[in-house]
Amino acid sequence: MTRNDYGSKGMNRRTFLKGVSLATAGVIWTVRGRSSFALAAEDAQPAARDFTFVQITDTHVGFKQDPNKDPLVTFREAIAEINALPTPPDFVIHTGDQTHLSKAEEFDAAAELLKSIKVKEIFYVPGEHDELDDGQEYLKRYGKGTIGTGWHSHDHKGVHFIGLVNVAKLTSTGLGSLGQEQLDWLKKDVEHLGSSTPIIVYTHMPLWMLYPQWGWGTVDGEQALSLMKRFNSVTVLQGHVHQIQNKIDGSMTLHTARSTAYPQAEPGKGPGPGPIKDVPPDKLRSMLGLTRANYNGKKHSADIFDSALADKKL
Amino acid sequence: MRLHWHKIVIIAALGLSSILLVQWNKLSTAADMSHSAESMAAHRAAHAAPVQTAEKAATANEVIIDNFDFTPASLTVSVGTTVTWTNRDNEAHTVNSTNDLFKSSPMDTNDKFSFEFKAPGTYPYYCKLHPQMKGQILVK
Repeated sequence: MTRNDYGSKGMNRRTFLKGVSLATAGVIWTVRGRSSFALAAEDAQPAARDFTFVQITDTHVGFKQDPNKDPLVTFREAIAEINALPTPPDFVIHTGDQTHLSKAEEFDAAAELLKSIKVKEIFYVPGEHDELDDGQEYLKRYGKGTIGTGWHSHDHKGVHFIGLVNVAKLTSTGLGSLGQEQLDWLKKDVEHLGSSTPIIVYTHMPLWMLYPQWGWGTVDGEQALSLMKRFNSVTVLQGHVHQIQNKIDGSMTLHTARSTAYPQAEPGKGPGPGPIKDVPPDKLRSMLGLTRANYNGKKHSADIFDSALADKKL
Repeated sequence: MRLHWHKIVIIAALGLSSILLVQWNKLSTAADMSHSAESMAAHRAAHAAPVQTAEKAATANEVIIDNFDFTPASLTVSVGTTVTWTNRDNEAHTVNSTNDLFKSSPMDTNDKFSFEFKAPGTYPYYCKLHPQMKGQILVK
């Protein structure tokens, strides 16, 4: 499994999560580093419906503490990696916590950097750090064309993309929640789709109960997933935990991406879900990163690549 | 015949490389685990100091926010007391009254928030970013 691999000798290697084609009945495995298999998949001639998109998350503009006193610098580095991709992504997804304190000037600074990404479109969902004013600033900027607190869906080259908001109302135990209104909308949104339609969901907090003791999960996430159980391929991309975590359940692959700002401890392996303060400066970039997904139109599934900023290549 | 041997060689090579890959994964995982254990021990040690300071610094009308906790979690004051919350954590927090009687702005590290309690009663509050963090002020 790809795990939070900071400090390990493997940290500079790219992690590669490979979704196997439907022909092998939804079996999915993960491979560390660049194997010959991974190379073969990457170098394959792109078919008409193949495309790439990039996920960035937890940019935390406005954070000023250890271990990263200026996350704008590492955010810029992440953008440089996107702009250097040999195959430009069709779009970028930001899965929330753009800002640290939901301040207008933090949203401004984030927007200024996001403008420099050479991509046609960026899709957004908010994180709880973007909702400290009950989502007013976020919705003013990113609410257009969305429903409720910012949820939305779109189709791209035969894939159905769904952006869910699970941070507008946290539970008293700190978990995310979608709420009945959003679940009703989701049910309607997917019911007209054939079960062979590949689905890619993106949201801020993990939809599964990754570590509820730290609020790392969504109280009604299972209900959302059950609405998508009949589909042959469902990929859920999340942030929030500032590290790579995966859950694979039948045809569903759930994956969390690294932050571009600061790392957090592995579930239960620190005093709490806050920033890891004591990261040596030369280690920081191995714990930050972004995620690229290559959608393979022939296999009807996405291959997910995580790269650390230290790799200098996405 | 030549082609046949060629195939066998490829199959053998693939088989060998998967074995190597599995072994490598095991090694990397072992390296990960031992290293994270070390770094977490260091992390805990680094956290021990601020917690002690927090306990020492808390006065009769002060609540310290550190390591995802309000300390003390329950504070008793007399009517007319102004209580001050100080965020000593690396993470941002808020102080939100459960009954909407008071609400801080988002509090960055070292930010303070104060509220004067003018009437007796029990005032529960939580952090909007991490609602599992709870505290209360008892005003007598």
